[in-house]
Amino acid sequence: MRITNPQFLWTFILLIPTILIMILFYMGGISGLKKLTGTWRFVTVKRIYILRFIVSNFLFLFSILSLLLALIGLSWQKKPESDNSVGFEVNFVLDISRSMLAQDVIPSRLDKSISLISTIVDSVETSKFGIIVFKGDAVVSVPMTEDRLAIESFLGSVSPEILSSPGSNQEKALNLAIESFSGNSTNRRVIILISDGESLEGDVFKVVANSVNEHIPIYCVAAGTQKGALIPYKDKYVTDKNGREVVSKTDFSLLSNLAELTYGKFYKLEETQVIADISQEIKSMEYDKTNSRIKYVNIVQYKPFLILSLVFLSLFIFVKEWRWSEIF
Amino acid sequence: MLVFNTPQYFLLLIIIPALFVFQNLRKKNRGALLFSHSVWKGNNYIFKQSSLLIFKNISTFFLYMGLLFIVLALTDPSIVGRENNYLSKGVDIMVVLDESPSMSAKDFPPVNRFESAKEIILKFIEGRENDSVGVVSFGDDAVLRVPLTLDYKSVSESVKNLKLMSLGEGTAIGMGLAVSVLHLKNSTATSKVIILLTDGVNNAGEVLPLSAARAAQEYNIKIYTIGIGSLEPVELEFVNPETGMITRADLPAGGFDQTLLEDIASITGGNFYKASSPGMLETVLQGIDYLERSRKIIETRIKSKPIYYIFTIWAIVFISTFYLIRKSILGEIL
Repeated sequence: MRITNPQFLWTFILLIPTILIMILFYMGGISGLKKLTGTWRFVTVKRIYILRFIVSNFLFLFSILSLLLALIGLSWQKKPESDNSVGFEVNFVLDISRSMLAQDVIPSRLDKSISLISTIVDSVETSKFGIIVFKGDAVVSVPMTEDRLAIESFLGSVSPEILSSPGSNQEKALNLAIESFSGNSTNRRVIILISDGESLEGDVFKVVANSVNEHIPIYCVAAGTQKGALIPYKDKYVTDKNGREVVSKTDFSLLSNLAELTYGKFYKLEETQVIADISQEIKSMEYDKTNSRIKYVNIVQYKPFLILSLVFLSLFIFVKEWRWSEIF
Repeated sequence: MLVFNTPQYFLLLIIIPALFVFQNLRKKNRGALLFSHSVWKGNNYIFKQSSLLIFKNISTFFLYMGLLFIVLALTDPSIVGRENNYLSKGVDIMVVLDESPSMSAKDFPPVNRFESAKEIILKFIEGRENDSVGVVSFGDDAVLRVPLTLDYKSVSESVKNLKLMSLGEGTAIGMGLAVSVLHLKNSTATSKVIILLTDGVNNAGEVLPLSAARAAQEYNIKIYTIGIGSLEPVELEFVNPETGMITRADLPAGGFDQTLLEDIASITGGNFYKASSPGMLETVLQGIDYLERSRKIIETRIKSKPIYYIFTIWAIVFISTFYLIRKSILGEIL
């Protein structure tokens, strides 16, 4: 089961205040009831009141819950569709924050990422590539092009100094990547995100809905280790305000969730086989003229939940409005 | 354009009038108290009857709106747009621009030759649809500014960022052409074109313009050469990027090397043009545009973006407001 709109997951927290408010209303209702009925009929009426209150409010709560479930767009089924994509475009989104210089991946996170990109570019023949680099800001360094030479020469000059803005804004970078494909949806499109950190600014999961709708999977490569490493800076290591050395650890769960939600795959740069694995995977996606292909498109199941919510809401009104002959 | 993909769900809208009938036309049956006395604090009612009725009507309105939006979300509303996909490959165009100081000559209003050339190149790029465009600029040396790409935004951006003399004071026409040929040679496009804009004489670089032109011919690349500027002496004004100082000078009569540009064009099967004013330069580029039209195969696709979630959010807002008004302001017990 997958979630198409994870950016709305937080709305479920709203259920807690809703329940609290309901309890408050329940207590207010009881005291109102006392005033209305007087003490001697209160006990009988209270019994019916509790029953009706619970039934009607649960129906209301279920109705809201179903709406929230519809909102996050669950999907657990796929339907086959013929895949008539012609070309192939890969956009690399490369983190160039200073922590990419850490050497827990050999020779360094950045160097191995660069050799990963150049191996992929070499292994696939008929496709276009683009490179986006990011820190707190993101820029298109190499726009979508067939010119491998341009990519090679750019890779030779990558360093954290290209951008001056500090930070790590994966959301901005990924949105830029989605926008800077050639806009030709007959092409098969893939994003490869290489990053070593958590997203410091922006909410990465806001990208998910867009990438799923555009059929652009995001392959995530975690450049770094969970154990972490020191970040070299001018013969020393980067320190924090108190003079302690900063250890840069990689957040695997964020990247693997992002990959899963967007139908991509997750890789760890520290593994020795990783470059071969990814280029193999990308190569297998390349356009194959001989076979007619089928791709599986997920169905977002929001309608059942909306219907459920409609049913609950109608029942809620019915229970509220229908006269229960025993009371009043 | 807003489209409802499953309009059959609109039938569910019948719930709203049904509910209206259920709530309002059963009056005879009910002896129920509509609202509680919890608002009664022992004295007078806080709300007058009329304001209670207003709140009751508002809350009912919110309920109906909530129901309406759930039904609307069920009809799968989507924003639909048309998308043109080119199945054929366009022309690969490499624009080669001279960055030497003489390009700051003021005979091209409003600023100088260089700025006018940038303006007109930007316009030219805007008019492209399916042709990959790249940019090379040259001074003492030549550099690829943008590789061949359909991402016109990036190309325009880097054309705007071009600066005079960032590559020195020379005019290495040969290097400019050689770099372009290097990046064009592996392209799979059927038609490859270099547009060379210069106002000077080749005086730097390790590659002779004519040998670069021969290399271009080998790879089936056509070179259109454009000589910019008049042959009269003109005034120059530029900011030296190294010192930051404004330099003024007079450019002696002479201008570009017409025979060289003509030769380059004829070797590769292109044309030579003279552009002594911004208007002429624009006409020249339009002319090249006309010559280099490729046959386009276009497929139009309908692209849709679901927006049911917007309607769902509104439904939640409306229904919650309905509930809150009923329970808090109206003090409804049940």
